[in-house]
Amino acid sequence: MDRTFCRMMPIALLVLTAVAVLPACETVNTAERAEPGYERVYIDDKRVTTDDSLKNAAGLVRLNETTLESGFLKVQAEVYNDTRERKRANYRFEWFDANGMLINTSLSSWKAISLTGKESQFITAVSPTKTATDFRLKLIEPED
Amino acid sequence: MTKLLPAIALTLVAALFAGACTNNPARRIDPSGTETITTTDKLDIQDATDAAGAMSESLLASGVLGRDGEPSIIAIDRYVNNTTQQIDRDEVVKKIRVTLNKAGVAQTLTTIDSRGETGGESNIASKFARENVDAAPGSEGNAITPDPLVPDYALTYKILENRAKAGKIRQTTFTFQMSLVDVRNGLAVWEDEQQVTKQGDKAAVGW
Repeated sequence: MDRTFCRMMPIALLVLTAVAVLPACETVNTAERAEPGYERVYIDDKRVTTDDSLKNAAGLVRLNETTLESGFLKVQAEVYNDTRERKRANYRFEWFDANGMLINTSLSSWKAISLTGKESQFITAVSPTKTATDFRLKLIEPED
Repeated sequence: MTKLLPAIALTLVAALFAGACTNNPARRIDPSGTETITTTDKLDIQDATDAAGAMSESLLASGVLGRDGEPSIIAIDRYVNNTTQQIDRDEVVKKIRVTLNKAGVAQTLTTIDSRGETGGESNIASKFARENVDAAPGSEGNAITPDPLVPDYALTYKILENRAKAGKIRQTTFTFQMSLVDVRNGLAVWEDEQQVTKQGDKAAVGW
């Protein structure tokens, strides 16, 4: 009995440690209309991915934009967490004028986003001026 | 030489440890970046930036300001701080003012205070306005009418705080409430609320 216990002890410890170390799964179920009642104007985007784990945790699905009645550009990005755990990410929008010059604004500060497993979220931004014609979205992993 | 080897190794290890001990020398960081300190109970610089950013975007998107192509004239109205801390009004409001000004949709009247009296944040402009208001039309003295004296909109601002604790975990929520009021009829033409919630057992660098 003692020998069996001694043999099983390391295995039991290993299993307990694995359970403790593994992050808790937290995923989201969603439901929506089969035929959407909207028509989004998606824009072609160019992506540079340097962090594959971030791509899984907060991957960009699609971008769409619209010009508001007030003349400002509004951008919406769909971000998806392809893991089964809650993930956090930081993002910022940078804005450019027709000459490609960066528009210096406090609206371009980093913001935080938190996504549950398999969740898709929309992040939006409004251009700081009416002269903004383009933008760039940056995503980074938070420092833990 | 062989006698010296342990001593050299020891010195190298000591140097490595010494380097590791001084791992947080003072340095300048980007105030809009992700390295700022996050506290659980205070309004951090990032919280103010986030609130101001969300409010500014909401105001710009609403299209209320600068509707006729000209910047609207706004005045900063009453500020209510219902928190346990002293939070300067301009930690958030000034950022919004700057954003609206740069966007070309609003300019702030600096000659009236939050009670609507002549005497705003600009002493010189307030004095000029006061002297010219005193010079009623037809009276002797300066006949210049200060332009503009009446703002289009007044911006009211309130900040609330809610604290909760579960064991060692502390949570603080700051609620920012703003209204843009049409001065001529008293209607709130734009209103928004933004919440910042922070949770943790101690402050941390980065977020």
